[in-house]
Amino acid sequence: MKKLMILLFLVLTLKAHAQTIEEAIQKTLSQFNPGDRTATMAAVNRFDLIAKKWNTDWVSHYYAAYAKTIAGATETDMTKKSQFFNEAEKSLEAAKENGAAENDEVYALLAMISSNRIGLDPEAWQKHMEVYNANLRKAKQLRKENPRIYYIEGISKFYTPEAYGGGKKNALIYFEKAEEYFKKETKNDILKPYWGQEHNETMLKGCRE
Amino acid sequence: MRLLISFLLFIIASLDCVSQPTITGKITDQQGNSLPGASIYILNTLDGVSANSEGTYTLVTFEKGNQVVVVSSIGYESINRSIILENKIYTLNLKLKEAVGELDEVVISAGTIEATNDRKVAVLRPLDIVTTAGAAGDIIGAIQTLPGTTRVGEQTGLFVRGGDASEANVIIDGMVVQNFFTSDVPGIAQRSRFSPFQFKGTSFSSGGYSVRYGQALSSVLELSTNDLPAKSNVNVGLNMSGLFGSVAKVFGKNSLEVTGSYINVAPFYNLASTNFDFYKAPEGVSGSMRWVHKNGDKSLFKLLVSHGGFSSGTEIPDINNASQRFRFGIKNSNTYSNASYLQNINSKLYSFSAVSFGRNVDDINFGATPSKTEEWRLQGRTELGFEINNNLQLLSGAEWQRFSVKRNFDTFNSGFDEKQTSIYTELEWKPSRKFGVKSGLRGEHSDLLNQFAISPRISAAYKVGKQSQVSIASGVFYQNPNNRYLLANKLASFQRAIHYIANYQWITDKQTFRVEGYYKSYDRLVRELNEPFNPNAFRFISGDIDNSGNGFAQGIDVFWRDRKLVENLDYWVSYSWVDTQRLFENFTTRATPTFISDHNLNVIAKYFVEPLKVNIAATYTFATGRPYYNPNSAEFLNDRVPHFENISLNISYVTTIRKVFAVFYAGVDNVTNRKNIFGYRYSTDGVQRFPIEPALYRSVFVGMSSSLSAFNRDEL
Repeated sequence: MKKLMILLFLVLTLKAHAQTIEEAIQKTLSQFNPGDRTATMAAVNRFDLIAKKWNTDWVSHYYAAYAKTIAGATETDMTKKSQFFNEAEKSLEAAKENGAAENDEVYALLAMISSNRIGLDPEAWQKHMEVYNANLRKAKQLRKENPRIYYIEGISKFYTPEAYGGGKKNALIYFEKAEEYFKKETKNDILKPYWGQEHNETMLKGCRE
Repeated sequence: MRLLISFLLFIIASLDCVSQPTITGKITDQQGNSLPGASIYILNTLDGVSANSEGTYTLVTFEKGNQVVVVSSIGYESINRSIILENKIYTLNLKLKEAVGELDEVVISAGTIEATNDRKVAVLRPLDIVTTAGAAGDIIGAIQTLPGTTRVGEQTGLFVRGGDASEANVIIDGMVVQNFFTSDVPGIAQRSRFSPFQFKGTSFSSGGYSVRYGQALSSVLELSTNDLPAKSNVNVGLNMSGLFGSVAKVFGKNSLEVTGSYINVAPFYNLASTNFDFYKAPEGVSGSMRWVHKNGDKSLFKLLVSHGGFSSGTEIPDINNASQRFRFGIKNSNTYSNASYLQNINSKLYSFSAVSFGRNVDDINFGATPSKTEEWRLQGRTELGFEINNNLQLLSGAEWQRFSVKRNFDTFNSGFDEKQTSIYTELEWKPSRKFGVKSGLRGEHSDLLNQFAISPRISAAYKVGKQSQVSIASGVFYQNPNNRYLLANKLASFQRAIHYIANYQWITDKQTFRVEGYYKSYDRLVRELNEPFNPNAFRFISGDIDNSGNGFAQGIDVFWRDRKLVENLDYWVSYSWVDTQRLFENFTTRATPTFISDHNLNVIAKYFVEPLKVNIAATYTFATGRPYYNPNSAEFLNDRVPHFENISLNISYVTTIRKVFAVFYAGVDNVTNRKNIFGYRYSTDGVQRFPIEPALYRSVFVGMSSSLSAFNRDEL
């Protein structure tokens, strides 16, 4: 019975306990599953709420943008895809306005969005490529050890037709470079984004096959 | 014990539920389709849920009292609902309205077809221009497949809606280009001097164009050059008419581009059977330099300087004696420069300024007669754009041009020097996303003619459906008399055209349907007085002229493009019907001019064979026979040549060899080797007639181009 009381107490305190931004982000991230549409949308919505609550913290907007980017990338409807990317860019604008104007993660994610837009709107690839390159350049300038930069470049190369300089072989060097930096990355502070390693490994394997 | 714990937990959980406010319901769109993934939350809290795959949700919250529930979904307008929360279950079913996006905003577009990457949905993309079969990579070749145009195989220039080549102006970055085409060789249509790859946007107006431009009775083709290249790169090209190379280097916000080319058309002409004897195939060298500075969205500076020359010798039918041929030799030198600066002063105000200078010299041997034409044009433009409020935009500017043409034909010297000053202002009013009006005034003054004229113009568009809109446009357009009169020192007043255009357009990202009807009235056209008709375009003008000419043009243009029917297939069909007559120049009565085909049809198809990385393109052109002058006919310009037909094929293969991106291409023009005839010329006594033939029948063109983008392993 004592055990039960403790449990009861625990349940009640947990319910009443106010979450910190770290906990909120961590919890949402752990439930985020790009393969499951419902879970993805739940994460997108959740991150939006987090961004509204901690709206002066750039990282809250960053994660909102991250979730929307992934949701856009995994969406099949062309119009919706583009809407997700528009929303993601808006969130990154908010991140910039709240202390991340010179943050490499923001520019890396912006590059990822442009690279996705090429697939969405291939005829305007030159325009998107220009934005993609500018953002990658800026991200590298700010912190060239950011593994996500090379991971994003790898993904972009991977999905570029071989005739245009893409393909597995050309993508591999980028994933390898990303791997090297992912290994050096400390992954203990959620406020310093560290996503991507797992998928990078999958892509590495895919490229080496 | 375990069971007990579980049971108790269950009790706690369910107690929890009833002791908390609960909102449940379904989120749908206006049509009642569920919206999975919609977000339902209490404003200013972390309490929120997502709608499941059926669009239903259950939101349990700790919040009580006066609260706001927000429902949002990407692509829809959010709804806020005030609610007083108690420990109860509430049902809240909501319908969301679709948010209006870029697609839904009206675009004032009557008379204009744009090829651009800047808009999400466009009739054409710049790349479409380059890849049109039969255009041989020439912008004009591709524009001539659009509705409203007629391809006139033996004459240089753009013929639009009943207008002759002199009635169309080509503009690059806001500046008129005086010698857009390679210098004329009588009887052979010339290509443009500019590579299509240097333009990011093409806007072709077949009527009713903006007050920014004037001095063109029918049409304006507006080209905008590229901004900063995405990356430093090196390009090399080789084809049957020459070599081409360019280097572009990007330094942060700046880029420098240098190009050079060597043209020698001999290999191309040798392989084709030519109707004319090219005793000296066109050969030339040219080079250009371009500087671009782009400071984000704040400012954009572009400078282009190019210089080139060529020489050629062609044996052409004698202009004065139809049965004879004579040698036409030309040596050309051309310089063109353009500098423009766009500055966004703040989010509401921008300024644009540009200057350009062009000079062209043709040294011609007209049979045994030496002739020299020297022309230049200097111009400047400055304008301000101001956003008065969300739906009102004002544009005002001024333009100044000075140009001069001098011609020595043997011992005859002629020439003129003209200064034109124009001011313009235009107001764009979009009271809603569905409706917009643009109206403007342009005042232009000619120093040579000592005349001032005001042209009012207006266009409006109304969105009738999600993807469709109707638009109308009207305007007054003035133009100087043709250079041939000014050169002979025969002055008259401005000629005038008034356009009325109505357009319906339906456009999605994969399909476009566009139909446009127009009526154009011409008056004050230049007429030669007391002259018998003479079909010779190089005739000597000796008599007086006045502005007593007039005419009209009416027609319907239809355009259909589809990229949905078959994957990787893109095709478009353009059809134009034109009915036009005029009394001008040395016409004796009102008649349809010789450059008109009543019905024009173009079918363009492009298919990408994905596994082979091969692009196949085909263009079919059909045009009904044009009028020709028969001195023996009782009625003036009443005879018609047989119809024109042409099939072109193009095949290109894209590949990467190491780090080099390469395109190999081959094309055949006039696949069936059809003997098209453009008209007839008669001997002076009118007994013998000679067909006017194209320079080439079937011809083959092969080439490649490759590009290497800067790749630096350290950059990795």
